[in-house]
Amino acid sequence: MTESDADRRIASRFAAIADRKDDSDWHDVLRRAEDRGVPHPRRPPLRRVAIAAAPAAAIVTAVLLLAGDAIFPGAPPERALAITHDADPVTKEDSVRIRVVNAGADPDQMNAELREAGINACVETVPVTRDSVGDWLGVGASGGSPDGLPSEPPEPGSGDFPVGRFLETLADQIDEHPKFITVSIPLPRGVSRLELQVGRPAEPGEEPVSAEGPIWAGGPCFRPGFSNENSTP
Amino acid sequence: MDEVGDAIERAYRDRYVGFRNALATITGNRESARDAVQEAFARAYRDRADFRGGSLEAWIWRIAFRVALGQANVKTTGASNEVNGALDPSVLDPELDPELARALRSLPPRRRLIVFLRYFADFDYSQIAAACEISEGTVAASLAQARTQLKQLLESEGVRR
Repeated sequence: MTESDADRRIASRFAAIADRKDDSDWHDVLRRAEDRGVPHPRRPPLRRVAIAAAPAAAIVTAVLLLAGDAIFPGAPPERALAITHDADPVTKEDSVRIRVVNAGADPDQMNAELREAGINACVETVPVTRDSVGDWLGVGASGGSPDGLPSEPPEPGSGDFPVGRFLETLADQIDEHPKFITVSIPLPRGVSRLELQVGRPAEPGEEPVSAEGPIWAGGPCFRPGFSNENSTP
Repeated sequence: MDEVGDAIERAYRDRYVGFRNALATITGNRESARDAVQEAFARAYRDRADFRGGSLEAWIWRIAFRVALGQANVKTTGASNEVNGALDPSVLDPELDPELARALRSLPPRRRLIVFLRYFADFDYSQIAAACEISEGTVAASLAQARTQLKQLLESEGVRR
């Protein structure tokens, strides 16, 4: 059976059980929107400032580009991570999407860039084969036991505790799309530090770690799962 | 009316049934799914100035998904809007096709949701990717894996029919 055959057959099974009744009501949508005080398309108040500032910004940018190292003798290093903020349109919760753009960068630089984005993290780089360079490989967290959290560290996958859900979400992301992760901020209550592993090119003579192999144990900070900093006697 | 408002209305008229059926897999019944669709489009219409381009349907879907999860949580646990705690989509009426329902239950929840978006909401790969904030490659891989997992069911159907 080819993939398109399978696609057709699944589609036909779904079509057979799909509820075809159309009970849509656009006026109800408009009513609900009006009930919440529909703002008509609004112009962000900062737009005018942005427009006014644009020519000035262009001039400054041009000067900086022309001046280059004369102004900044030690040119800023290449970013290690591409970090974008994305507020959920409904909940307004903030989150950051993190992608590795320079897997060979120093982990300290990655930590600093994450700190700028509001995440206290400890990144550890792991030698991998070329196809896994830049992939997020593992996630862990450490923290204390403030009120409301269980004294025992929750297992990822338990789904019972905020920290467990948090780690499970990140682990799922890594399974599904290892090139980037999206982390909600601030970190959940009880998590003081996010611990991450990312693939980097193996040095000459260095054995790359395979996905099926044992957990890389060479780094300074990464511990899979949750480690409770206050639980040690 | 403005351009985005027009596009939201068009999306609603064209895709209402697909949205409702896909959301019903999360909320558990058609009535609450209908309410989630209405609420989501109302919020999208109200907040249309916040739309920053890209796939409008995917943007609306993300809103609808949150609304549906909120409804599912209120009914099941009363907990706050926690995505992973509530994400357990299932066929609305398993009796209609018990084999398909059973086979779908064998898929991980996220993969199941992608399948529902593909076959109930009729989203294409790029829309699913935008809706779930994953790459099109991941969508393709997830659907390929889902089809493989459903292969036994499909082959037995092929023999019978």
